[in-house]
Amino acid sequence: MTTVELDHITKIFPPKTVAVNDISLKIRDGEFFVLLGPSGCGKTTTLRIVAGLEKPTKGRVYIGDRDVTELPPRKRDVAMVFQTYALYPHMKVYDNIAFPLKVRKMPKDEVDKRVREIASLLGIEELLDRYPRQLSGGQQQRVALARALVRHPKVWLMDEPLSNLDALLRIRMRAEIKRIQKELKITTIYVTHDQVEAMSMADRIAVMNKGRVLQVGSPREIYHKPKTLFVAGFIGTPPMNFINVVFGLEKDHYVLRGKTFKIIISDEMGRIIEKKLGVDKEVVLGIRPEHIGIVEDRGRRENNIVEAEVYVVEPLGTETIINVKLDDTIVKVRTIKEVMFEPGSKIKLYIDPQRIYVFDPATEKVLV
Amino acid sequence: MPSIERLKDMLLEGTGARLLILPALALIGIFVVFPVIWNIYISMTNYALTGPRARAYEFIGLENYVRILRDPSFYNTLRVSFMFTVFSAIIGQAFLGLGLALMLRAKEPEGVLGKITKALKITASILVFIAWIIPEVVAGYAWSAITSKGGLISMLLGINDDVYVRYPFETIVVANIWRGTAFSMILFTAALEGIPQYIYEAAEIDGAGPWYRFRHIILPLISQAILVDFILITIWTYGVFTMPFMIVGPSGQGGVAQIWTLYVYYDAINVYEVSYAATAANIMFLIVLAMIIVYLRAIGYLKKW
Repeated sequence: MTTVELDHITKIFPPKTVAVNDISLKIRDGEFFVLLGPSGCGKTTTLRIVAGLEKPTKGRVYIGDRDVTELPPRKRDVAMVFQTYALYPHMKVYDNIAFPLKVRKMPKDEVDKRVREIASLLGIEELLDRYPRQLSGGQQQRVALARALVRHPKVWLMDEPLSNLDALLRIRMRAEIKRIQKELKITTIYVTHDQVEAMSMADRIAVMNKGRVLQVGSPREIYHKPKTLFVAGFIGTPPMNFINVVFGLEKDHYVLRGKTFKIIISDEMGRIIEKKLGVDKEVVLGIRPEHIGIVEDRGRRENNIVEAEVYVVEPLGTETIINVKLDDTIVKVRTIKEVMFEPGSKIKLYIDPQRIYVFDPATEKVLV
Repeated sequence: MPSIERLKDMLLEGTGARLLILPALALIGIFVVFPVIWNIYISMTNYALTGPRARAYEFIGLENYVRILRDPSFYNTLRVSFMFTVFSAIIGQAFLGLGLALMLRAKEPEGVLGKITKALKITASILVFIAWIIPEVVAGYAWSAITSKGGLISMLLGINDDVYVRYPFETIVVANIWRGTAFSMILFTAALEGIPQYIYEAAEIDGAGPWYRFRHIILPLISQAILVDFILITIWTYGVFTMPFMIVGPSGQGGVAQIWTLYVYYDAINVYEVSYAATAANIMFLIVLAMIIVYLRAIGYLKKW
């Protein structure tokens, strides 16, 4: 049983840089937990605090039932994969992987068995006799993974381990890391700024910004129920569109009014917003690119159709991203149809009122 | 008239370029190569500083070399020089320098204690630096003063005598460590800076304690710097003259602390045997050369990753 718990962790780098601001997290046994956020959000510092490389200014760290706040890294039984791999340049691959075992004075034949086992798991047996500088980035990365895994640590920490790899290798290693993690069932904390990586690998994600955790949840929750503007705008490819509108009441229904369009929303949604904010207030309308439809003919739907001007079209093979200008905002529309529009032409879009989000611009929190 | 471009080509490549290094070569020839050859020649004569042999000296072949190899005082100086180098350079300067470099690099604890540590670090490195940059004559004078009867060190040790007379060898060893440690400290500090922080951190997470990290990570990674340091401080310590000369005199307090530079000086200036001194200098040159070749070999062997 290895859980990791952060209890009101704050880290201030002298003089006044608050890197981590009162974070509390509970990571479950065997879980693949991702800390996601833009650079400088404090996610790496948080990971380093778990590793023991940084001491929190306030708060406690627990691994299992043990309070490890005061323990040095070597007594925490964690393993870490660094962004830069941090292989020992003067040791061959074999010795790099064996290092954590040799430190613990494991018998030689046992070391040998373990090293070869992990090397075959990662497919690097033929590299054992080389020096790190003779390896490609991807190979070095695997050696770093092997070194972290070889002693079956309680917690596995990864600091953007894929960011130095090329796109193809990154996708392959993503699956591989997840497979190994599931196979060995090691509690894992993984830091990344890449939301695709986070979505595809995580059991749960903590989205961080400016030293705070904004939301913790499964990839589905984070995607479908973002709690703040930031989380909504960070997740998704491309991320959510935001349009400034005014929330109002017209005749017998609630509407969101843009400069050139109007969206009728359900009474249920409207009542919630009215209760929280009141009518004739400025709000932010959020809608994911994949939830905007392209209307080819007028059809039956008369409501919630907006007209926009095509700005640029990005064909991506399996899908097409159409950038349109709605009011003064560039809105991205994602469609799996192979369509082609001339920049400057008019296009009709259907916005599904069931799939929109409305945010309070002042607090940046979601209203509905 | 050649264009500027052509002129540049002529100067930077081919004959023109070679001509440009001629003045430097000439200076090296006059002040380095010629004295070495002259020294070899002189060592094969019976040239003396004064007397008839100063004017009418003769070629005597290897006679001086045969004589010096039978001279017990030469073996004494060999031994003293060797010990002086081992103790003051390798053991003293290199070890102390490495220790200081490690100490300077160590992470300071947070809070007041950290500030005190930091202040101590700065003070220590300034003191080490001062020893290195003050003129040698001043340093030599200071050392002979503090080690003479009633001097600071004599008093601290409770010796009511001239320390440099009672312990001449120890005195020049300590003085030379004091003077030369800064160089090793700087070199090792730079070498340690060259190891990325994450390597230390990786080792720490992998479970290595301070000694294990030092032994298996830091030491191998700075081994080249260590050898370079050994080469340089060996050469320099072997050539040290001013401070020992000022502290123990050319005879090295009756031979006890007579390193070879003092021996050469003594032979040439005190007993006027210039050709004999030249012989000693040549032999020492060969010894230093041999040591450097060994070191360079070792560096080549180390550089495998």
